Amino acid sequence: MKNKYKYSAIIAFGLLVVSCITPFEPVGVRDIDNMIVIEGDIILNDTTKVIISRSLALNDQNKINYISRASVWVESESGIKYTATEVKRGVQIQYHIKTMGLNPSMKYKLCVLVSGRRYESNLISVLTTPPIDSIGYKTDLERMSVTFYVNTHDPLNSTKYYKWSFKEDWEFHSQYLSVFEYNPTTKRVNEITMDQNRYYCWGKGVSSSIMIASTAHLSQDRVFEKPLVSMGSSDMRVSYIYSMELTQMAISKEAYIYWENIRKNSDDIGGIFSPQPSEIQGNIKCVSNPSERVLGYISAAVVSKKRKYAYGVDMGIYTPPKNCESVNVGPENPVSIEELYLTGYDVVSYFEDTNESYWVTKRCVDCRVYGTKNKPAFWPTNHK
Amino acid sequence: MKRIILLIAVFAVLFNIDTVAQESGTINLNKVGLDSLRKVFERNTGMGLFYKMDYGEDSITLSIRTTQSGFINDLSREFEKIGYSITRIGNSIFILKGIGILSDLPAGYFSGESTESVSGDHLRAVTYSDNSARSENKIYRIGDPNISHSESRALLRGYVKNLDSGEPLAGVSVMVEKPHSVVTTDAFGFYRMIIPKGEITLVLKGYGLEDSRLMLEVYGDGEIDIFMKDKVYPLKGIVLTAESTQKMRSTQIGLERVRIDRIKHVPAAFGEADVMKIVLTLPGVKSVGESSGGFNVRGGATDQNLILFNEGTIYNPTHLFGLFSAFNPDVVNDIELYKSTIPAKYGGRISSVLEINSRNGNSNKITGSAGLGLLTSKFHIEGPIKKEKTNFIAGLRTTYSNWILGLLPPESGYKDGTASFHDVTLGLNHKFDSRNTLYLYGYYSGDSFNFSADTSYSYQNMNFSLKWRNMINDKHNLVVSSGYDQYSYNTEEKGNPVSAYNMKFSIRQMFLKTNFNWLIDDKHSVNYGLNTVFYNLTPGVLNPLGGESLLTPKRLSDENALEMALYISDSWSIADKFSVDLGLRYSLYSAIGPANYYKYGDEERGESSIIDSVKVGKGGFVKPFTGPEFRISARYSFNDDLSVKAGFNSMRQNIHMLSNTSSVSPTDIWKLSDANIDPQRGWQAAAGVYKNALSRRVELSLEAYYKEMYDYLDYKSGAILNMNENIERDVLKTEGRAYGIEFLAKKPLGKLNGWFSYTYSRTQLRESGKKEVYNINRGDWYSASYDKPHDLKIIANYKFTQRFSVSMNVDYSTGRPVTIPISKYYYGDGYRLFYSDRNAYRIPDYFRMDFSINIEPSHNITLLTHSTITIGVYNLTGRKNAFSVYYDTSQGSKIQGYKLSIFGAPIPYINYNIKF
Repeated sequence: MKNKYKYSAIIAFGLLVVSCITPFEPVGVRDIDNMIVIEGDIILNDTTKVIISRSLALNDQNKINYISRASVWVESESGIKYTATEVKRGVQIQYHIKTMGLNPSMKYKLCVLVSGRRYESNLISVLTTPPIDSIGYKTDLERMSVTFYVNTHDPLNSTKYYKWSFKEDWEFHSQYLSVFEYNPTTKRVNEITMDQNRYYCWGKGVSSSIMIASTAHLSQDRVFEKPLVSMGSSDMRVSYIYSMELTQMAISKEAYIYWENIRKNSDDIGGIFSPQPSEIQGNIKCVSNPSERVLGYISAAVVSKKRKYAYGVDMGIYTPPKNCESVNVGPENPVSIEELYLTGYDVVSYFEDTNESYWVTKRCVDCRVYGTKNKPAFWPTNHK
Repeated sequence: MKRIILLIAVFAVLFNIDTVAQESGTINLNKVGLDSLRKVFERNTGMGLFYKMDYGEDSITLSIRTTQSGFINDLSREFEKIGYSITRIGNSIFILKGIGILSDLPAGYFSGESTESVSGDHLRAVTYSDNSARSENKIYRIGDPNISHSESRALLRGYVKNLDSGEPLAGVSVMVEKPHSVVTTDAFGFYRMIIPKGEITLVLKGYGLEDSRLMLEVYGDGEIDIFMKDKVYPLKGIVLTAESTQKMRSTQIGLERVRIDRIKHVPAAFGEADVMKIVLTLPGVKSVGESSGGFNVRGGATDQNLILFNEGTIYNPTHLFGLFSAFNPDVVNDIELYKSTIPAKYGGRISSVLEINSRNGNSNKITGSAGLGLLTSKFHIEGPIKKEKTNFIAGLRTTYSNWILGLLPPESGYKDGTASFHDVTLGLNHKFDSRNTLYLYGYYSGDSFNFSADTSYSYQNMNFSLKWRNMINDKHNLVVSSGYDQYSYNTEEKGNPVSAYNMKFSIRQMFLKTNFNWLIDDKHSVNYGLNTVFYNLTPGVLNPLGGESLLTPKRLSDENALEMALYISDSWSIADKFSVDLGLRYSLYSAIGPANYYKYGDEERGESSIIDSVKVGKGGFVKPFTGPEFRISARYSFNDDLSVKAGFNSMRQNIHMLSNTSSVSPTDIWKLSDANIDPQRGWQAAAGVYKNALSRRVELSLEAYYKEMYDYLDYKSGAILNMNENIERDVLKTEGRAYGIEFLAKKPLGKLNGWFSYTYSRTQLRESGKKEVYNINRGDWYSASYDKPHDLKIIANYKFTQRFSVSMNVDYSTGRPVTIPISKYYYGDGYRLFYSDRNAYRIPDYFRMDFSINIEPSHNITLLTHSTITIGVYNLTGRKNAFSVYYDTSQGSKIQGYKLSIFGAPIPYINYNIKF
C-alpha cells in the first residue's frame, strides 16, 4: 500500500510539470514594414469599400497606418472607370465606390494610385453568391459556450468556395437598474426618468477571424453548420439580444487558397505537426515597380446577406460576473458619497427622507462602461 | 573435405580437450572428461550416455581412437580397462561400475543414425573463459597434419557464440596477430578468414565480452566455434576493445554500432529505453526537436533513411507520434547506423541505413523479462524449442499512455486526446544442418490516437520475412531473404456530419534479396547479389463517414513500381596497412502501369501547361530510371592505433515522403517516382582520422564530409499533399548541400564510460532550376529545418560497483531555423502576419541534461528472478527548450510570440524490470 502511494505521487508530480508555453521574443528580427496593403472586394450589390494601409513592424503598437489622399477606382474590362470618394470614419480612412448595379457579366479590376505608384489587381470575374439558408447556434452546456454557424447551399453546384464576414450588435443590461443619478456639480443624488437610464446599452463589432469553406470535395455544394464564432458564458453578447448580419460571398479557388494560407499562418502554427508557414502572392501588383511586395487579394461578387437575432434566455448560458461591491450609506455608515463617487461607485437607490443611499461599483450600474446608448435603427426592442 | 569432430564443452575447462581433425568417421579423443565424451558420443550415435559418478570419479579422463561405427565397442573396451562397463537400455547407454549387461553390439547397428548425425553438425566448439589459464597455453590443431597441402594458407571459419545464452555474437573481431589480418563476425556470428599455416595466435574481441586468445596449429582448412563470455567489467584496467579494433581496421567511415545494454543505460524520457533516441545521440544525427519522429543524418531529410528491422523496411519507426520508438528494447540486440560508407548491398535511400537487429534468442534455456514503466508494460520470452536446432524470441509491449496527452499544453491542441500503442516482435530460427539455417521474423506495431473526440488516427507497420542462409562451400555463402512490408494509416474526421470522412493510405512492398559472399583469397572478399523490391502504394482512399456525409468518395489510383539493383563489391587488402573497398550498385527502377499521367510543356506545371495525356497499360513501364551508384572507401593504418580513411558514396532513392511539416507526422504520405517525379540522388565524400589514445582506453575519431542532394521534394505555398491526383503540380525540385566535421571521443569500458561528441555542420537547400519566379526565398540557399550548426553530446555512465551506476546525458545544440512573422497588417478586420523568408531565424539554443541511477539489487545466480530498477530525471535543469513558436493575433495590435516546450520541466521517472 505504501509503495502504491509513492508511485502515484510520482505520476502526480509529472502531471504538474511537463510542457508549457512561454513568451518568445526573437532577437535580431529585421522587420519589414511599410508594405502597401490593399483591401476591397468589388461588391456589385453594395458599395465597394477600399482600405489602403501600410504594414507595421510586429511590435509596433500604433494604430493602423491608413493611407489618405490616394486615387482609387474600379475599372471594367471595357475601360470604364468608377472612381472612389475618400470617407473618414474616426481614424479609419475608406474609399467608397458606387458599384451597385454594375453589369455582373463584365470583369473588373481595382486600381490604386499612391504617391505616384500605381497598383492594379488582375481583371476579376464577378461571382454570384447563393442566398444564406440559415444561421443558427448550438449551446454547449458542458463548456458553457454558444457557437453560431451558417448553413447554405448552391443548387447549381457551382459556388464551391465561400467566404463570410459579419457585423454584430448586441443589447445588454447593467446588473443594477438605477433611477437615480449623482450629480458631481451639486453633489446631490437626483431621480431620473427611464429615458435617461444607464441600464440598456448596445455594443457592436465586426468579425475578425477568417471564415471560409470549400465544398469542392463534397457531392453537393452544401455547407452544413460551418462555425462562425463562439462565445463563452461571461460574454455580454449572449446576455440579452445578439444580432448578427452575415455577409456571404462566393470566392474563386485561388482566393480560397490565399485566405486559407493566411488563416493557417495565424491559427495553425506552433503545433507538433504544424505546416511550415509560407506567403502566397495575392492578385494585386505594383505596375510601376513590379518587384514591390503588395499585400491583398481582391475578389468581385454579388453577395448575399442575412440577419439573425439570438436571445439570451434561449441561449441560456450567460452568467453575470460577480464583480460588484456595494456600500450602504446611512446613519450607521456615514460615508461621504462624493468620496464614493470618486472611487468608482454609482448610486443605485436613494431615500431622500432619511438620506440613506445604496452604492455599487460603477461597472455594475452604468452599462456605458461596456457599451453605448446608440441603439441600432433596426433593433427589435423598444428599450431606450 | 575435412571433417572436424564435434565437441560441445560448456564447462570443459577442467578437462583436457584435445580433439583433432580427422578424416570422416574417425573419432580421436585424448584425455577427455566424461561430460565431453557424452556430448561427442551423443552426437555421433544419436544415443544418450548416462552415468552416475561418485566424488572423485568425475575427473576421470580417457583417450579413445575409433570410428563412428565402432564407437560403442571401442568405448566399451576403454571403460573395461578402468573397471567400468557400459549397458544399453533402449536408446540409452549407461556407464556402470563393474560388469555390465551388454558388452558388444552388432557392427553397423547404429551406422544409419551415425551417418545422419555426421552430416548434421561438424563443428568443434571451444569454450573460452577468463579462468582458463591453461587453455591459453593449449594449442588447438586445425586441419589434418597427415595430409600435406601445397598451399601456405588455410581457411578457418566458424561461429562465435555467447557462452551463457548460446546466441551468436555479431561484430566480434577475429584477428590474427602476425601477419595482421582481421575479420568481423556477421549478423549470424559467423566468421571466415584466410590464415597462414603453422602456429598462430587468434585473438577475439567483442564489446562487452571477455577478450579471448587462442593458440592454433594450422595444418589445413578447418572450423572452430568459439564461445565467449560476457565481461564482468573490470572497473579499472587496460583493455583494447573490439570497437576500437574494428574502427581501426575496417574501411568503413561513419559506421556507428550500439549494443542494447548501452542503450538501456541511457536516460530517456519516461525511462523507456529507446532504440531510436540513442541514434540521436550519435554524432552527425539530428532531429527537428524532441518528441518529433524521424532523424536527419548528415544533412539528409527524414525520408532519406532506410530503417531495417530484421530485413523489413519500417516506414514509421515511432509510437505516440514520435515520443517513443516502435521497437521493444528487450528483443533488440544492436543497432547499426551507416552514415557515410553504405555497403553496396543496401540501397534505396540517399542518406543513411539504420539496421536494427533483434536477438536470436537464448539457445540454452527459456528466459524472459517483464517490465513496468510509467507508460508501458512489456514482456518478452526466449529460448530453445529444440536444443541446438530451433530457438525463438518473442516480445510484446503495450501502453496505458492516455494520461500523457493531458500533459501537453492546450495550445498543442491534443490535450483532450487519447492514445495507445502496442508492438509485437517474433523471431524464430531453425538450423537444419551446419550449412543451412532458416530465420523467420514477424513484426507488428500499431498506434491509435485521437486528439479530439471527432478526429482519430491510427497507423500500423507490419513485416514478415524469411531468411535462408546457406554455406555453398568453404569460401562461398549465400543469404536469401524474402518478405513483405506494410505500412498503413487511417484518419477519421467526423466533426461535421456533412463532410465526415475516413481516409486511408498504405504502402505494401515485397522484396527478395540475394546476397553472395565469396572469400576469394586473403586479399579479396567479394559480395555480390541482387535486390528486388516490388512496391504497391494506395496513395489515398477517401470515403464518406456516416449516413449524412455528402463527401464524394475518391480513390487515387494505385502506384506500382519495380526496383531492382545488382551489386558487387570487393574488400581488397592491398597491403597489411592499406585496404580498399570497391563497390558498384546498378539501380533499375520503373513505375509500372496501369497508370495515367500528363506531360507538361514547361517547368511551371499546371492545367494550362499540359501538352499530352499518356495512358500506360497494365504491366507497362511508365518511365524507367537507371543509374550506377558507387561505394568506394579506403583505409590506411599507420599502426594499430592510428589510421586514416576516405570514401565516396553515391545513392539513389525512388520513394519520397510528402510532408510539409517540419517533423514527421503520422499522416505523411509516400510517393513513388514516376513520369513526373524523378528519383532523388545524392553523393557524399568523407574522410576521417581514427586514433586510440590513453593506452587504448579512449577511441578518438574525427570525420569530415561534404554531401550534395538533388531532386529532393519541397512544396509550393498552399500545396495540397493528401488526395491530390496531380501532386507533381504542387511539388518543387530542391537541391541540397551539407558539410560538417564530427569529433567523437569514446571510452567504451571502465568505471567511467560513454562518449563525447561535437559536430559542426551546415545543411542548406534551394529551389532547383533556372526560373523567372522562384517560390521559396527567390531561389537562394536557405537553412534546412534541421540545420543546427553546433551540436554537443555527452553520454556518460559511472559504475560505482557492478550493481550501482549513474548515467548522465548532456545535449546542446544551436536552435533550429524557423520561419517567423516579421510584419503585421490589418486585413479583413483583423491583424494578419507576414512571414520572413523560409527558415530565416532560429529558436533559442537547445540544452538538456538527464540523469539516472541504475540499481541491480542482486546478481546471485541462484535467484529465480533478477530485477533492475532505474530512477531518473529527464531534463534535469528543467530548461524550457522551445520546440516551436507561434504568434497570437487575437489580442489586437499587440502580437505576442510564444514558444512551445514539450518537456519544459524536469520529468522524474522510475522503471522496474524483472528478468527470469
